[in-house]
Amino acid sequence: MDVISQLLHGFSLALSPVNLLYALAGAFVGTLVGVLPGLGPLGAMAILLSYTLGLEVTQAMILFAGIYYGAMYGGSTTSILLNIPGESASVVTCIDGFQMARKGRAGAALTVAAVSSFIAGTLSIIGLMFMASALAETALKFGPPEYFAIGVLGLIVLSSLTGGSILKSAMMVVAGLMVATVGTDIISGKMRFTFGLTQLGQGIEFLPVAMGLFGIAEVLSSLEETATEGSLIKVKWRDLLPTREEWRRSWGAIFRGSFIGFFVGLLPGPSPVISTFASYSAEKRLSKHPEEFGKGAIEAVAGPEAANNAAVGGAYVPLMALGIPFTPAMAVVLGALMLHGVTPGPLMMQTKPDLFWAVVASMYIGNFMLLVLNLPLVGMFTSILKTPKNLLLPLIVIISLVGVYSVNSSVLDLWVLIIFGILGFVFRKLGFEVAPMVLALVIGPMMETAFRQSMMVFKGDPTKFFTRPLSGTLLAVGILVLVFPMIRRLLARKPSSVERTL
Amino acid sequence: MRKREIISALVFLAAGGIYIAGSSRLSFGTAEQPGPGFIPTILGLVMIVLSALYLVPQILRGTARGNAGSAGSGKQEGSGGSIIPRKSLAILVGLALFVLAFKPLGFLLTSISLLFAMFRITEYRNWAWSLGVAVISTAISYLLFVTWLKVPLPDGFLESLLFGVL
Repeated sequence: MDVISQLLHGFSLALSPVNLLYALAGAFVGTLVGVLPGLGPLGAMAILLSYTLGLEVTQAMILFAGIYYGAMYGGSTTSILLNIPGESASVVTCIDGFQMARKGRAGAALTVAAVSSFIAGTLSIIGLMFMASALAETALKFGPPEYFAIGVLGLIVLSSLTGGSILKSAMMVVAGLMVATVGTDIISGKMRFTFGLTQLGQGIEFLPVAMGLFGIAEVLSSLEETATEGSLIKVKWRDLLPTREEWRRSWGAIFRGSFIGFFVGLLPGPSPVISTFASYSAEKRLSKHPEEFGKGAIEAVAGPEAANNAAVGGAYVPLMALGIPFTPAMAVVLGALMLHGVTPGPLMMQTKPDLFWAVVASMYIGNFMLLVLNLPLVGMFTSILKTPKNLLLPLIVIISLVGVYSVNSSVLDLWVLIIFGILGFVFRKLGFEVAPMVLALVIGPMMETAFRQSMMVFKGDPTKFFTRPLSGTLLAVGILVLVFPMIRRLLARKPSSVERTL
Repeated sequence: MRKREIISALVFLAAGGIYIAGSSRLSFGTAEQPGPGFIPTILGLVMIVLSALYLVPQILRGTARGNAGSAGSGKQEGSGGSIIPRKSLAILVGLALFVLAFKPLGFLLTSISLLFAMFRITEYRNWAWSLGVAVISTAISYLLFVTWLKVPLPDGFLESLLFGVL
């Protein structure tokens, strides 16, 4: 068993005191931003991106994985106790979690949420291990046309899953690709769209763009939200234990949620969020007492909480195996890898096995830490909610500014940060999703190079993209994803009630 | 709302146009040997088509509803005030001033000023608290970033005043 021995090696790396510390720090920061509304794991990772430069790449990855997982745990706490979703993947948990709390079952809901997060997290890491290895092996046979096709498919699926108008998402994708062309053309070495600024020759840095679009824009938007004051529900220790009946109803939901979460996680898009909705509606449909949903059904806490954690593992698969991020958060993780000079791709698991396996092992450890830490610290984390927003937000702004400046000592990067902060804020207001833009920006250069190389190989015949079996299939799937909703809308001309309730 | 959407569509359209103008200076190459301008030209064209697809229904719907006044001109009466609310706008102005002053005035002074301004804009307690927290958190970040992490932040006269005396 090659996988087992490599995993054990990964554990030996992840269990070093320093790496354990970063796993703990990540889990802690993640729980914190999960608890705090307004700032999500994405914003936190974007803001911390510049600070990971001082770390080893493995430590940076361990930290980020911890943040991502931690946020999924933390988000459930405030959803259940205060009816405030700390981040968007916990919105569904509010529905029944808070109702359970009102019935005095808050402790049981918290325990079930933590246990299902742990089980789902663990299962999805196992999935990640096997899927990533298998996918990377297949991907070794990929040529430029396949990479181009994967990029196209990823962008299409992301745009149609992000919600809102596909046209608007497509505009954002093109805008992202346009920004990606700024800088030196890799193939010809020519400067493009640099406006005579030599600093732009290296392209627009991803870091200030991501920090602006996610960090600064999030700060600006949460300034507008009026603080939601919730009365905290007190939980006693002995109430933490779910009853036998509650356990019995949860198990199925946990495993179904893990399964749904992992596979939704493989798809491009805000997968943790989508997976919670998918799990909720699945549980409601399967339940023997669907009338309890919305009134405190424990399955509706167990399933979605499992799903959003499992989605995290799924989201890592395309990043680790193909080097292509399918979610905005993974784009930031990719940014961290590239800052350290690591280019992920199918070869990464062979050339940098330590990195991959240490991160996987640290995910197990992080999940365990979160399970142990989460429940005892519930009180502390909810009291953090009382930190006034107008104290926190300005400090986050300063941390972002210093962080961006520290990477290149470049004032231009600060301008990029602010400009994209404004853009992100305005785009959101106008109903334009920024996620497709960020993804396009990240994979744009790869796609352009792949396209031009393919065209050279194809001797200028673009139909060969469709006649090659693998790239052709991928592109065909992409076109189907794009066209199918349009056809359905033409046929139905009426929004279905299922979509409305979601 | 309609006006906002028309304006944003026009901005995207203009971006596509400017972008194409920029890419026309790069060599397009051939299909067999695509040059640096190949993809940009296509992207610009796609952007123009998409923004047009977005723009046309907005205008049609605007006139179909019989809106008074011509669509697409003027921005005074967007529903729900301006796109950027006053507080956020004030913070953005503060950020721009911070970046302008960052190098000439140094980290300490600009950071204290920006934090103080942001605390006041967001109405954090009173001005004394705002100033105190601004000074203390700037001092902590200076110790953290400059002294400990050795991040080279720009020095200004406040730094030379403080550390010149010491």
